[in-house]
Order: sequence, then structure tokens, then C-alpha cells
Amino acid sequence: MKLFFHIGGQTLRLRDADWKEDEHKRDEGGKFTAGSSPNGSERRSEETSSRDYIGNHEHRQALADDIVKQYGLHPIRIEMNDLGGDYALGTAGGRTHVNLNSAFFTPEKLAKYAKEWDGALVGAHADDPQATARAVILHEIGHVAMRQIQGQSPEGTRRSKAVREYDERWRAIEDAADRFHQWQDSAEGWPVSAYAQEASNEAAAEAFAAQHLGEVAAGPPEKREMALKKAKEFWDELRAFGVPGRTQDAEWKEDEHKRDEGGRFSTTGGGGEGKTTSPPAETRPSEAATTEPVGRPPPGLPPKIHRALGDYGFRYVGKDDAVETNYSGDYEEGDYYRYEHPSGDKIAVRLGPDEDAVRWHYEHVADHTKQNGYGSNWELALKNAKIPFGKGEREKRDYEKTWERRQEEKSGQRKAKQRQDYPEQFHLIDQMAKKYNYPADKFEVLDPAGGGFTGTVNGRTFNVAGWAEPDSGRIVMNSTVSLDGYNKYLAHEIFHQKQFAAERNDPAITRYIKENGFRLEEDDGLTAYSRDWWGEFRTVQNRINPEKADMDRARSVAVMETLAEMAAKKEGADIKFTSTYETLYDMINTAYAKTREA
Amino acid sequence: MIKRETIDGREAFVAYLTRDMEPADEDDAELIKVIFDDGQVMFLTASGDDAEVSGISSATC
Repeated sequence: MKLFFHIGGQTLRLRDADWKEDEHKRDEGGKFTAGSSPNGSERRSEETSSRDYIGNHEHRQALADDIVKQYGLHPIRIEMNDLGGDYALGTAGGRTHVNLNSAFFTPEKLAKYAKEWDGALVGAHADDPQATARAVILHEIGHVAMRQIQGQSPEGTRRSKAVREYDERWRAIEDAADRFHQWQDSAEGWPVSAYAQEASNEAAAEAFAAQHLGEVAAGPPEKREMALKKAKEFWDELRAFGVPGRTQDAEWKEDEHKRDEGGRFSTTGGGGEGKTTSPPAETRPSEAATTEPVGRPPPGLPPKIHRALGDYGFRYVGKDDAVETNYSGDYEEGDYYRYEHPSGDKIAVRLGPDEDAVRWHYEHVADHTKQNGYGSNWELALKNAKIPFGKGEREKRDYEKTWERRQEEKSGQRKAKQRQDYPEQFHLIDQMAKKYNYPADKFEVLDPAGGGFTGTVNGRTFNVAGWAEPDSGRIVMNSTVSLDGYNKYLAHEIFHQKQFAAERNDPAITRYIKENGFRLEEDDGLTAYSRDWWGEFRTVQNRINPEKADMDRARSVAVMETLAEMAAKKEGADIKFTSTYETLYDMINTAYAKTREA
Repeated sequence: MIKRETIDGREAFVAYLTRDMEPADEDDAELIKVIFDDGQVMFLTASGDDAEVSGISSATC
């Protein structure tokens, strides 16, 4: 499929109806004012029609100067550096400048990126490489603007008032960015772009571009309007902090300020030309190697990173305290999580100074090459990892299609498409979700033709009909599952998820199960299905010297399956189970309802 | 019948069932429910024709 946000060949733009230029007068230095031109569209028009951001450095600098003047920022230098093809396209240079990589900032490359990023980056448009170049510059300026508002760390001891105030201010701004980022990912929110979902600092940079341009990357009109309004409110919140006095650190060194690691915008994150290929038109992204559940993330690693790697087909293989950076014996120390792909490729990740800034090392085993990078752009690196790295053809990976699918997922496009394809299933899902107070957006219906829907157990091949993921709350259904009895299946799986969430948030649930273990076993749920699970528990219990962990696990599963069976039996029927189970059933529903209210 | 199995390197409980959700021998099972130790819950139907796939319809697995 062509990139996900095209609608009729046009990328829809949005004007911010709530933006009132009169309230944001020009040239009020230091107040972060908006509006050096009468309105956003004229500003955009002037910026794009008369300037050459790709080939003319004065024009690039003029854009930065305009922004500085418009928002009351300190001067921002635009610098062009030939950083080579294995570096980022652009980076934010702390509070003073933007680095652009001349290796990528060419008409040919920008034309290519324009097509690739349309819909994924605020201001990037497939048919407009100049606008896309401007989008990259605006994005990096957004990073710089945020750092300018955060200010410069004062000299002094950590206990000094100035340092404490700076730390508080810095944290408050980071927290604001976190909140904005989280809102975008919430059921009520909408991202200004797919890239804005990568990390809180990327969300901030993208929001800056959005509020400046008066457009977001994609989405239905009402969602885009909401996202734009939120982006503006977020930057209103930031500018309320004011911009501290001019800095004197023209020689700012990023290495000394690790907090800026996330401020990169990479094209490949790897070597070579960074070539990309557009997917064939009208083809659906493959589900292959993307639908299989990936299990629980290792302790310490954010689930979203684990999940993303799993989507690309990587499996966690263990933790290490160092990773080899090349084939010459050099290594880098750190708490690395190692993953391997069935192709043999390997990736090791560790967390940066903040959770979203990932340090990653990727090894192309077939090519005997390694690449590494910082920031939240590792998915882009994976996406491009199928490209030969200067050593001829190599096995194609599915990363690019997976990357596209993930962007679709992040944008909401993927679920919207599923709803179009499977209206009957989602009609039932919506009914059941409402009835059982479970979010409908946790459900997916996938086509088994996409692959990943068979499994072998004891030598027999089975079709995977669906699965539930406790950490994410996601429930996935095979689209071929008959609708007859769908409601009972959904009731069963929903209750599993509610129990997982309720137990995480209310220790009374676990305590009740522990205190009433004997009664729960004695009552055993009253169906052949639940009795079978309790029979397994007794099998474990009756072993010679049974392990406590084994007994606990078997009991836990027996309780879980009995409760879910209750939910299925109760669906559409007025059935009462024993008071021990009814009490627990009600406790879970109540505790889960509280998690949703929270 | 419920057994402990290792599937793709992951430990799991596997419940073998008829399509009416009655316990079944592993060779006769039409449905299986897999509960991985990491919490993942998966249900599968015997591979074959569409009728078997639709056998999930009466299940509450």
C-alpha cells in the first residue's frame, strides 16, 4: 500500500480554527509569540514558494531566523556538515544550532524522503520536497526551542538554589512533554504524526512544527483538529515558562549533554546510501512474522520496545553487560537486551538517559556488518536494514513492510481498515466491549492469509484462532472464526484481561484467591472444562515433593480459567455459580472498573 | 487433558478439548488452549478444512 496517510492522492491539511493571531502579537521578544505573518497559510506559502531549503543555505538560515523572531527565541544557527551516510539527516545542537547532514540534504534524497515521510512527519508532503526539507528543519528547531526554554544548567553545587530551580524547571518541561506524548497514545488522543509517537521529545518537536504550520500529518478531520489544538496547547504551556537569558555556549557539545540524545532525526541509522524503496501500490502490509505474540518483556525494558522488536520478528535471548561494536574486539558497556531474528540478524538495545532514548547496535550477520545509533529512530534503521549495505544483494527482510504496518498501527489507520474489512466482527466486538466495560480499541481482527496463523503442537498443525496479551490488553481474533458463539468467546477473553489488570492494581484480588484457595478448588467451577484445570492442579499437588512454584502456577491458571468460563457461561444466560466464585467475579469487575476510571 | 508443553522454547499449559469444550485426548483434540507461563493466552483449532476452523463457534475457549 502506498503510504498510509494519503487520501485520494492528497495529504489533507488543517487550519487551526482556534488559533487567534491577534492574541499572539509579533515581535514581543522573550514571550515566545506566534505570528509574524497574518495567518499560517500565508506564512507557509511564503516559506515554501520563495525559498529553496534544499539547495540554498541562506534560505535555510532565513527560516530559522524567522522562527527565532516569531517565537522570541535565541538565535539558532543552521549548519551543514558532511556527516556521511551512516549518520542522522539532522540533529538538534543543544540550544544553539541545528546540524543538517549534507550527505542527505540533496534534491534527490529529499524527493525520496518526501514520498516516504508523507503522513509520518508533520509538514512532509509527497509532492513537495521543499516542504519536506522545511519540515525536517522545523522539527529540529522544535528540539532546540524546547532546550532553550529549559535553559542552561547554572554553575553551583547540586544543592544550590539555582541548580535546584533549574532541575525543577527542566523536569517540569520534560513532564509536560511526557504528558503530551501519552495523550497522543491514549484512546482519547491523536498523534500529530507517526513520528511524534516515538518519544516525548519527538512528540514535542513534531508538535512545534504542527502548531507553526497549522497542520498535522494525518487522520480524520476531527482528529486532526483535536491533535492540532492539543499541540498548540502544549506549546502554550511550554512558552509560559519563558525563554531564559541568552546562552553563551556557542561551542555547545552534545556529548556533554546526554539529555539531547533523542534529538536526532535519522534516515537510515546505518551505512550506505540509505536508499529506500516504496512498497508496491495497493498491496497490504504483510502480517507475516508480525502477528505472533511475543511474550512478556524482560524486566526493565519498556513493553513497547519489546513489542516493537517482536513485531519485526525478533526474540529476546538474554541480557548482557556489554556489546561488541565491531569485529575488531571493541565493545561498549551497558545493560543491553539482546534480541535475535530468525534470519540470524541481531540487535542489542539499552535505555538511554530517558526511557525513550534507545542506544542500539544492529548486526547484519549475512553481510558481516554492524551499525549502531542513538535515539528513538531504531525502527527506521530496521526498516532500512533490508537494503544492501554496499556488499551486493542480500536476503530481503520484511522489516520495511513491518515498519509500514507499525506506522499504520500508530496512526490508527490499521484498526480503521480492519473495521472496514470486518464490520460484522467489530459490530459484535463493540457490543461486547460496551457491555463488559472493556475498551473496543484493544481488539484486532486479522486475516490469516497474512501468515502467522498456524502453530504446531505435539506434531499436529493447528490454526491459531486468536490470542490475548496480558500486558497490553490486546485481544486478536482470526477473521475466519465463525460469528456463531463469538460473544461467548469474547466474554471469556475479556474476563482474562480484566483479571490481569485488576490483579495488577488491587492486591485484594490476589489475597482473596490465596485465602479462599481451598474453597475455590472445592467448588471447581462446575463445568468439565474448569474441572479439567483443577484436575491438573491436583496432579501437580500430588507429585512427590511438588515445587511450590508449580503448584502456585497450576492453581492460578485453574482459577483464571474457571473465572473466564464463568464469564462465557453467564453471557446471554442468567447463571449463578457458587458464592466463592461470584464474590471473586464481582471483585474483579469492580477493581477493573476502577482502573478504567483512573 | 491438560499437559505441560514447550512451544517454540516457551513453557505452557496446553488443554486439549473437543469442540464442545469437553476434555479430549491430544490425538482427538479439535481445539486446544495454550496458556504460556509468561501470561500469553492462545487458542487454536485443528488444522484442516473450514468446518474445523468454524468449530470454534460453539466454543467458549
